[in-house]
Amino acid sequence: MILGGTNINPWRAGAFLVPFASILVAILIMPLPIAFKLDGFWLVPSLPLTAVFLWTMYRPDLLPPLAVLLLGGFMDLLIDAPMGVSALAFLTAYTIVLSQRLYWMTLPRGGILVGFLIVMLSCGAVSWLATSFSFGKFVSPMPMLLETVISVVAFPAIRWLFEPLQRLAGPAL
Amino acid sequence: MRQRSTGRVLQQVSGLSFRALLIVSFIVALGLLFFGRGNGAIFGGARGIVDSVTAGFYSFVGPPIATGRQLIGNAFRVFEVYRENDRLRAENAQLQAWKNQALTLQQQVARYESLLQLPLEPDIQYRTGRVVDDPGGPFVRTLRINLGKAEGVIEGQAVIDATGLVGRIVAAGKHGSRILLITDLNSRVPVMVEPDGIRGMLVGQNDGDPTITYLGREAHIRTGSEVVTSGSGGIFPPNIPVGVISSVNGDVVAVRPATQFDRLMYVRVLEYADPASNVPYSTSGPPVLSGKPIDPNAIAFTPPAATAPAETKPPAKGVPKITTPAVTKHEDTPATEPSASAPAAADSGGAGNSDPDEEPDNTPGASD
Repeated sequence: MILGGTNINPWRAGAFLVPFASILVAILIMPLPIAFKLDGFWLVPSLPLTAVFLWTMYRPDLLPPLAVLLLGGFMDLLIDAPMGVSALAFLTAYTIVLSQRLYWMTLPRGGILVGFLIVMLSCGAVSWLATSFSFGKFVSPMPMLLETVISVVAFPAIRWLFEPLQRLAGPAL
Repeated sequence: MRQRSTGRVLQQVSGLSFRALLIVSFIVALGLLFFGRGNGAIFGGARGIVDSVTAGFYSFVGPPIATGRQLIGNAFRVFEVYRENDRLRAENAQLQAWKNQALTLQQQVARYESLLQLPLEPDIQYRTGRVVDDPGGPFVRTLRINLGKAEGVIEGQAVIDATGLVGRIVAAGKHGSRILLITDLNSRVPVMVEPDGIRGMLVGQNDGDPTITYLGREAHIRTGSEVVTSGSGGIFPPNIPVGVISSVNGDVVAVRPATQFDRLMYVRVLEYADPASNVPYSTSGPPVLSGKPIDPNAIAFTPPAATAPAETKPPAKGVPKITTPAVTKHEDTPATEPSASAPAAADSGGAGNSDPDEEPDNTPGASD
């Protein structure tokens, strides 16, 4: 069991709040005018998905599935997306990372980037299918592909920003 | 202190295993997706609450970031300024000539209107709001403004900026509202292609330019033609600039929006009520006006000389006038709120609506 055998105290003050709050902040940042437009497409990395990836990768014990569901639902409400789309994407990322994290951790730093690319493509495909289902017709996958590329490019920087938060939450499992 | 894993803690607290919690979460997410399909309005209340809660945060944080972004953008554009200045000087000289011509034409039109005894055009009041954020994800094109129900904004109202149509209000919270942009996949706007007045439905495409559908087979559309709102359906006032035809490829007619959505800072929410929607409809039998059935034979063109005095005429359905200085409603001319079915009518003007000129069903109880 991935989560078994830990010897940390999960009730340490605020430990549970750190992942939840940091993903919440990442969600709240997304609607801010931080993106730049290129040829009709917005260029912005998916901060919330990157945050879910990083926390599931290093501290899954602090991020229960129901929290992931809640955060996804909140994001759908905030960005006016069809309900359930972000929640499904987050849960997909969560499940993939949980099943592969121990293997990815054995790889050099670049290996995690490949893992992140796989997660982003899978979540993008899930979002695309779910949105198409909700709208009743296939939407263009181009925004999702662009978001994946931008997120992978920005991943090292975002990871660097998250490191202090993860230290705050405690040692990795 | 007891040292336990989160999985075990969660298991003990909820009585469910970690795997079961994950499966339940997936089922709930899928349930939301299936339940929400075609029932988007169900979550309107929750979205309104989220808007109201986060409006303060975005009003506070959004503008400095937008200004910073604009400054960065301007820094990159500084080398274009001189060339842009020359171009604007030339354009200004040309516009001065157009202005004189427009003033002459305006006087001519006023004279003709007076000769024809045309009814006065209804004024449109508006409220100016600031764009606080751009909440749209990869598949959604929306904006949020700092005006809500408390400021008199309601769902369905049209939103414009200085250059043209932006979209319409799809959700109004207490102090914040969401605008569905005309580029969004779910946006439908009845439009007219000038100068021939060819009518169609502008459909957002998310990526790239929106397209016009439901054009007549005989329609000959040229690149560069101006596109304005037709006013059909009563949601959008007629003759608001929408954009220009950017390309025509067979049946696909693309429109380049007049508005630059990535540079929007302030918008105007129009308090427009279609004059035709003031006519009450009965749920059965012929439409009634002031309690009396309308004689279909009486609805016919009347020569100008035989028209009734202006004060006894039905409300005008001409080109509405957007009054520039008014920000709030006049006390003596209360704006009529759009009917409850109006937003729904705009929504339904999509794939299932084959007639772009179809009027919304204002029948009381029709939406029940």
